[in-house]
Amino acid sequence: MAVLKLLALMRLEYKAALLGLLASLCSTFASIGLMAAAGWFLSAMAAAYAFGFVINLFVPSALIRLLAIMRTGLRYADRLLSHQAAFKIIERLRLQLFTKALALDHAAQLKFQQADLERRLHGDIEKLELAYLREFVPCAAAFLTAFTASAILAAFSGELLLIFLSTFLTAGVVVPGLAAWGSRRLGAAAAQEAGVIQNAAAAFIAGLMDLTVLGIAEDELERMAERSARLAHAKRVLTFLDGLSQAVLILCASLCFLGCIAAAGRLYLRAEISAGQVMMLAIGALSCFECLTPLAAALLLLPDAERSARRVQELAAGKPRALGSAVLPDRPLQRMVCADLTLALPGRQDPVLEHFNYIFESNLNYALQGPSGCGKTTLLSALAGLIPPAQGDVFYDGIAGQELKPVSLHQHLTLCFQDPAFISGRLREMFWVVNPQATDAEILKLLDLVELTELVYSLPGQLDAFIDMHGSSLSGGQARRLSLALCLIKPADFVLLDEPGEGLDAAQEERILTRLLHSRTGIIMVTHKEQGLTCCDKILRLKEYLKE
Amino acid sequence: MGKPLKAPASQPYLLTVIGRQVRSNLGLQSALFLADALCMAVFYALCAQAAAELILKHLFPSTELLVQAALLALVRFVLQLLSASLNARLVEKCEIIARSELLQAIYQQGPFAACVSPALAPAAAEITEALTPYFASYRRTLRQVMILPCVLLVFIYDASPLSALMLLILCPLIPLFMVLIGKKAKELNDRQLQQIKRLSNRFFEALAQLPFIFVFDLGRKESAAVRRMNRRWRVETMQILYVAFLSALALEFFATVGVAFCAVTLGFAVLERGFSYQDALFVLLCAPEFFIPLRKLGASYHAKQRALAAADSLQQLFNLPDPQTAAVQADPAASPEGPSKAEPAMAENMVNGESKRSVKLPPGFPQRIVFKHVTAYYPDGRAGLKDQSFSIEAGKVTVLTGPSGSGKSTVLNLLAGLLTPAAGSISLEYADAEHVSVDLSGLSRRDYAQLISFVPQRPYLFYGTIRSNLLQVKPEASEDELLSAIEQAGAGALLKSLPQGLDTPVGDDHAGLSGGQMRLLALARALLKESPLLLLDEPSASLDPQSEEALITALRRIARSGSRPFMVIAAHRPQLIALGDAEVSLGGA
Repeated sequence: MAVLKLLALMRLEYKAALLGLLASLCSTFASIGLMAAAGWFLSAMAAAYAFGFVINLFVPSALIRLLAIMRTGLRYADRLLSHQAAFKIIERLRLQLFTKALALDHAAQLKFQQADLERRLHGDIEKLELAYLREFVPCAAAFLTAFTASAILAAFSGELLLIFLSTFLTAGVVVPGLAAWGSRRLGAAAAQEAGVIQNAAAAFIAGLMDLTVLGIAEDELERMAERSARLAHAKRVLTFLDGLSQAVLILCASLCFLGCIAAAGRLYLRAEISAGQVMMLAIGALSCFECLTPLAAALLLLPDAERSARRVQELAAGKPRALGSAVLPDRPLQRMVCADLTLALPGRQDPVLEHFNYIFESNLNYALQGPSGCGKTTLLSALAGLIPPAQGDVFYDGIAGQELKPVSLHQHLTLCFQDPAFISGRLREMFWVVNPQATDAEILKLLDLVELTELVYSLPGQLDAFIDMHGSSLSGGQARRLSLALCLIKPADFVLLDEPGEGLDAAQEERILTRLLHSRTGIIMVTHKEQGLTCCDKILRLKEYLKE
Repeated sequence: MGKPLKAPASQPYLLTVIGRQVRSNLGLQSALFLADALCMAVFYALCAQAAAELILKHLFPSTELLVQAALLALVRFVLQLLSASLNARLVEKCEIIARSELLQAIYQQGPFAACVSPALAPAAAEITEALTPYFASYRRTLRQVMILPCVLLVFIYDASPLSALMLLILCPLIPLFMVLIGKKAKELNDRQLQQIKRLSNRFFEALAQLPFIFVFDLGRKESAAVRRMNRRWRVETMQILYVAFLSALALEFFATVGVAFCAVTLGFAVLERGFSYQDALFVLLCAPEFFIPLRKLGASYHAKQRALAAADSLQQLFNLPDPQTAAVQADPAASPEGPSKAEPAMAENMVNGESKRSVKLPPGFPQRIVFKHVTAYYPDGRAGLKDQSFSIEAGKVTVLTGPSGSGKSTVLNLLAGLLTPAAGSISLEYADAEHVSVDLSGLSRRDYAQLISFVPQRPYLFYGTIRSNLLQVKPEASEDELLSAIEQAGAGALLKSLPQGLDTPVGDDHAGLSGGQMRLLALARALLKESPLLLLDEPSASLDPQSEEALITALRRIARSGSRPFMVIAAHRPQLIALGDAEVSLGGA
């Protein structure tokens, strides 16, 4: 099972994991012990009074107080230690996933970017992270409690053991297990329905204007209401199954208690055990059932966790990136030669660009044009070493790209992605991450170039301001411009820009591009607009060029 | 004995509306809780009786007694099943109501509202994950807290007044401490929440930026950062948990003290004063049950916070846009029938809203559409149109001209019923004997939608194929009808250039269709709808010259056919302006 594989991470944090489990187990035992001791104490007192025994009062009452204190303290320790362990396992899980993802090839890495997937990944990882707390600890604690209790009861009589085991297993394993097994498809269907509803809602919102004017918005609402009803029904059944398991739990606990009174009573009447022991056994067995309460939810959620685990594993199981080992000499890169270059979209077979031959020189600026889908972005990705060519290669000052170490290539080249690409942080640190030697003056100069200076001065802390990628601190256009500035802070001989003016107004785009193209060479810019074209030394119309 | 309930008035709308719908369900469940609590008390009393007979009188419990107790256990089982099934229905209701309220609100707010954004789509699927536990867990447990301890207290008082007193004193202490500690934890939480979120999000962000990390060689740095951030995330979260768990500790402490105190005092009372063993045992069995609902409440307390936060974040959606209400007030003629939608109860009021906009549309086509001193604003406060008066005559192609920002699109949006004038009126004038004039704001949305076909500047094609998009408007249309609509829209050449024809996938990435081409397909879609008004917003923008020519020819053909008495075109380019028989210039407004 996929969940087990991920839970195998506990191995690495076995100390914390075991400590969490131990604390949980001890607090369960203390709780059961308290009730059993109280039952024993009360019944022994009653028997002593009725039959005139002399009895030691203080040891049992002290034991009760001790167990009470232990129960309180252990419950707190249990929560802290099991959460501590859960977080440690989460750390491992995240780091392992990240390390795996770093080594993947471009096509597999792009999967992490899909909008829907990022959100789902969030949910999936959270579910897995809770697997230790919600699934592992309750199940393990319940199993160990049952084992210990069985051993104690078995020492008294087989009948007690039989009563306890039959009721405990029914409440803890059989019924929740059956419920989980019976509802496993329902859970999957509900998850799928939720996805469909989300997509339908997204289309509804994006197309609200069209739906309204076409007069079909209300029909669409009705369709979504039907889906919603189906999802609601699935949730209803799942909720009922959980309630059913809890009801069975209470029934079994009650019957077990009755059965234990009767069975222990028989031993008592045969004078094999004392009055105190009768109630100790009966109340102790009853108290064991408390640890089953979280089990039903754990089992019902198990298929869900299983699905999450499988999805995360699929993501991490892509092809690793092939890495060359050649290194570029320590001087500026002058030439990128595309020789018979044939490229396919990442993860696809059919080529978008075929038999492309061209030479890019670092002392010229290039504009790359062509209708969408003709392979402009793919070409940039290949030049940046993100995707391997299907055929042919790019030669960097004579060294074939496939044999080149990416680190070495990236010392000479920088790329500004079509969508804003950066990682949240303090502004200055964002620049330092890309170029540790960058000075404030250089940073401000670039911010000025992309016309962000005013914005930066308006932020609290200015260069120390925290820029949140998902927050509202930046508009789409500002994020794009920041992304451009970050790309330019890196010293490089070639600068690859993918539609740098997208989302900017025409005048601003013209200003920024003109400034940029006049300031340096080695720029290769994909664009479908006219802005900045006059400042480029060469305009490569990809479709026409390939036809010739 | 529960926590002070918040006044319902301050509750977010979603919680109020769901709360109203599930009140009877919770009431029924409360009755079941009461019955269950009674059964439980009697069950334990029978158990105590059996044990007392056994231990003190050496009598094996009678079959009768055991059967009675077992039967009570069964009755409890049935009661709990009923309650579980009621609760399951409550969950179902929450799911349905929350989602339909949300979608209805989006629809009512309309496409221009600032609060309607694609970010709401996940909420449509997941809103209930935050809202349902509030009702199905928190509110339900709150009822249990109010019922079960009270019932038990009565029984315990009957058996041992001292124990009852002890529990009665402990009981209010628990919520008190929980609230005190909860406040402290919340303070900490509020202070660190943003930081913690950032630390956790860093990981997901890094995963979404893997190509960036590769190109900029940040792999090692980011691994270290992810490791560091995760560690700090753990440490900071644990700091909050240290405090948050204290409230559980307080609960545990008092519950344990309660049980232990009962056990020890009763034990001594039995030994020293000959206190009834049966009563003592009964109290001991009931004492832990007394605290169970409180513990459950503690565990589901965060459900309340989560639901409040979720419902609050959507609250804006349920406050109606101001311009509409403003429009009603500004126009006394419209106010009796006008949409008085100030109260935000939408799901069931959809029908009410309709009935208020109930002016009947006269048969036939209007002769003229008259704008009188119309001023309109977008919901975000942007001015769309200022005090414009003009009329649009039937049988003519009317072009709207003027520089960008002069309000061409706003006129179309007003005509399409997507906006309501803040001042002035728009009326349809009919040319029969009485010169009936109908104010637009008096018409129901559905009635009005039948009058118009509108192709906005950036139309939306739904995920699917060209065919599925066309069929959305007219599900029963034949292949020929679809093809002729495409031909009429001047998109025939476009369709021929697509190898998959009508089955070409569209939506999301637009399958390489340009904005202009999408508009042609949207025009075909609009033409499938039979309506007297055809509204086009810059239909030829970003088309190449041949396609533009084809489109203009197509539009001229539609105008001549007379199937659309009103054609209103917002136009910028001279070729398109030349198409018009009448011009409304919004220039110098």
